Amino acid sequence: MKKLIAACAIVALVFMLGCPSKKTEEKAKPAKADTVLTAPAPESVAPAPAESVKTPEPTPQPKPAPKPSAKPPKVGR
Amino acid sequence: MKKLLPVLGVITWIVLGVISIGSDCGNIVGGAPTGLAIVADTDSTVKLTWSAPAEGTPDKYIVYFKAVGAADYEMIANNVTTTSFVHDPSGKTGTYKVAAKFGSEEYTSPTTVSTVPVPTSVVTLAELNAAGNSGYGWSRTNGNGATYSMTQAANAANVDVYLTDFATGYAGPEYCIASPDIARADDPGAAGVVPEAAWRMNAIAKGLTNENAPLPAHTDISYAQYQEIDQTPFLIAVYTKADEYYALLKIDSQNTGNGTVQVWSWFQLVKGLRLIQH
Repeated sequence: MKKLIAACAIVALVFMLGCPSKKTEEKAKPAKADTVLTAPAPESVAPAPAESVKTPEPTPQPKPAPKPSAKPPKVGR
Repeated sequence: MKKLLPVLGVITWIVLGVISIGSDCGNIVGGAPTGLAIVADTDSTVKLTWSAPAEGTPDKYIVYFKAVGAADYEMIANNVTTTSFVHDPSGKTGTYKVAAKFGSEEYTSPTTVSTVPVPTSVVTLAELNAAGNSGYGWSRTNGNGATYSMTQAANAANVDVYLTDFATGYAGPEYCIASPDIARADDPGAAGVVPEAAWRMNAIAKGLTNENAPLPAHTDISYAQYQEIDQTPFLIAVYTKADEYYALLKIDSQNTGNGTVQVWSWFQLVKGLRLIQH
């Protein structure tokens, strides 16, 4: 009888060792609704047209010569 | 015989225990996908690829996506049985991960992949004839932008665009962002300044109104060898023709007194993808 009890104890020990708790990795997370980020489009404000004021200039000052534009023709690429 | 019965019982239970260990008590052993990678499938969609877990073929794969600004990942596919997946993010950028499902257990890939463009904080860019660096380019390894001198041939492999007024001096009045390959042939300000070298040939587009919207496709007619900075802040799309990357430049604070502008950038490290939400 004592041997039978000892045998049962061994069996119980073997089962405990044979069934290790399993660590699970990261679980799935529930889906969430999309969030869409949109920056507001910058608005361009057109300047109000300036009114030309007619004032006689007896001696008009010579304006500095405009810098010659040397930009090459723009081509698509 | 009576003495043999307990011994036989012990042997039987030990055998059963060993069998139990071998079967892991009914649990399925699994593992995570490896080698997750991302490429552009089209210029606005991506293709994810990965390798099956070393532990075996899972029942299925689950793909997750966390968009820019989102708090958490969302599941975008939950029954993938191959080792690739194409996603149309509808203009959004974000981070992806993949999990392998074995029974009820889920094993997530140890790495993620991203389409979020790499930001570079503000730097000062100088007009070609002003003091300071006038070249700007991006690392293809980490996406970081940096300024470079256009006076050194060794920098030709690093410069994607440069700042010029297409004249000697830096008085402007109009500055342009130009592809470096045109400097020696078409820019009077480059004479005696820009040495001969294999300067990159890139394409530049303007007219962008939303810095988070996808950049214009390179097939659009809007790309050219330079663009005038005619508003502030000014948004420019750059397409690197040799290796097909897209980037966004934001330019502000043009100062023709000292010949400088302020520049921010976002570089899309996924080659050929024109998504730039950040």
